[in-house]
Amino acid sequence: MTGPRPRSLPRRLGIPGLAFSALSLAWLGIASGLPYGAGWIVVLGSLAAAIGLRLGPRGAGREGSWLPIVAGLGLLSVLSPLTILAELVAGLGGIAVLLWMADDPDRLPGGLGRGVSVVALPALAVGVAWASALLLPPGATSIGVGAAVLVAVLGAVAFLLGRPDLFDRDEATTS
Amino acid sequence: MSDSFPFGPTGLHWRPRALAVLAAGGLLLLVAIVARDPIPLFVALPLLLAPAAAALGAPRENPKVELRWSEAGAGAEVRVTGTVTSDPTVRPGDLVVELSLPESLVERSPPTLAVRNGRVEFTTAWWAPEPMIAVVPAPTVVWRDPAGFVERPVEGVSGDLVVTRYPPELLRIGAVRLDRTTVLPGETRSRRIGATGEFFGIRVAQPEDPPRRLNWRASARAGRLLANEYALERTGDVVLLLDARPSELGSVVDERLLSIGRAAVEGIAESFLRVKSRVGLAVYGEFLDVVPLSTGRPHAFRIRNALLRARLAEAPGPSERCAVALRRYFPPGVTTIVFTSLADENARTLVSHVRRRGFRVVVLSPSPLRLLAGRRLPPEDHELAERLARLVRRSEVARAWQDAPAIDWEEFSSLGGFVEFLRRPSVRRIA
Repeated sequence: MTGPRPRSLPRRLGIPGLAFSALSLAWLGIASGLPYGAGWIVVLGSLAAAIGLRLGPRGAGREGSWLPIVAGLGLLSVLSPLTILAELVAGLGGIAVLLWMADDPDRLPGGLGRGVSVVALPALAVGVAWASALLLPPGATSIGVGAAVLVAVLGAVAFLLGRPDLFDRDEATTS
Repeated sequence: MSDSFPFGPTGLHWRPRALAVLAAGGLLLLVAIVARDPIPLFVALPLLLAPAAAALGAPRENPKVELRWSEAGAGAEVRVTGTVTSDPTVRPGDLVVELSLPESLVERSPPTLAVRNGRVEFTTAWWAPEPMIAVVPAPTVVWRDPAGFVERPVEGVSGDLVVTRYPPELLRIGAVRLDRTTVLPGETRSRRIGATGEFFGIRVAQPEDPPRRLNWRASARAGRLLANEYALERTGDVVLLLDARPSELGSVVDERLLSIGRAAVEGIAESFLRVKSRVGLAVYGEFLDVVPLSTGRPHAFRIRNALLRARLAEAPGPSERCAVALRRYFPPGVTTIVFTSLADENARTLVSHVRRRGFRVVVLSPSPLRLLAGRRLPPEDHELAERLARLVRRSEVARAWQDAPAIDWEEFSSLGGFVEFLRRPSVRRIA
């Protein structure tokens, strides 16, 4: 199989998604307060690995170029102190990763614009979750409720993955 | 798509990326629970929801698209251009179009894809380094969500494209006068009577005869409608025998030589059919695959299909078997062009056996020297090896001349020497 012609370097990198991811990583890196610049090492290491995979040959490596950023976000989010802003930045980081996936260099241009339709629902969920975190009183109970909701979401998604026919219904004949 | 794992055979497919994203999200969720820290939950949330969001945005049924494509380009350049038009429910940008590169072609640069006027346009930049006949499979077209989590096959993409490239000299080969042979058993003389050619006779007109075919003077004299009959113009018969047996050169070189031979056979057959000669094809691997002598446009398709089926045999069949089988299908005395590399004893005995069975053999031997030239050798040894290889090759061709005229085809972009030989066979030396 032969794919489309490789695009120019900025478009191959997917600058908008990468920039948002880098900003999120950098904020969490600073907020984590790791000594001896370890936070920056994690940030730059994640970005370098992601860019390297994205610019590499077509295949599984390029397909998984988002993984280093998610790993960096996960590591730094665990190490960051719990604040409302950190939660927002972490959520935006996850959305930035999705935008970066949508800006695929192996596909037709305009992926970022088209990707908004996929990102809209997760962004809404992040917004609701963040608003809840902002308004509800902090404590272990909230975390437990949030985790339970996420487990339920995960279960629902797993169920949907096993039943693709639920999305596959035909138009009603009477309509 | 090869990198997808379908839950349904023809419906929505979840791609590995969806599973990987869910796994990453699930891991972050676990970390958040273990560390009693909600921040990883916020990273996980978009990752867990995105695949479901992508599936919700997928078209409800397989989109219908229309593929229009053709092959252009001149000489060695092969440019396949086409458009994929989708139904209005699907954004053209969400279609993924991937083309398969046939083995005998080389990709100069990746295909150009663009969305213009609501459809996907693609153009390839391929190159045929040597004569070839290849099937370009229809491009793989799928609908895929922008983030690449789910995909769906589309309907309406079918029809392969056949690309041929053969030397331009073959256009002149029709001037060659071939010998006529006896009619085949079961062939009636009327088959050689048709609507064009030299005047043959007069017969009673049939209702389906066009006015131009009526002989009005003869009709006036006879008092009933009479029509002319013509003997089809046919310069003679030719059999093209393609040796598809493995040789000592190895499978890679053999495959390329077979590909070159197929292209030459296609070009020669087309040229002779254009002047209404009868052309037969025989492909010999382990057993003989035959297209009997015939003429006309449908016959060109029969020959092309047989050539596209032709593959290098796993085990070489004995040369005598080929000659015996050939005699069952073709009359003796017919001009037989044998395409063989002459690289081993099997190839040489094939020529000998076919000639002994009464066929007038001409050998067109694609030279393996150019294909072997790419092999790595130290610079000091390269020239010596090349000279030795040339001497061996000349010796092989000279030995073949003991049985039949043999043309060493080294410059694949030209068949001038071969065409010149067929036109003036008394000239024994080929430039």
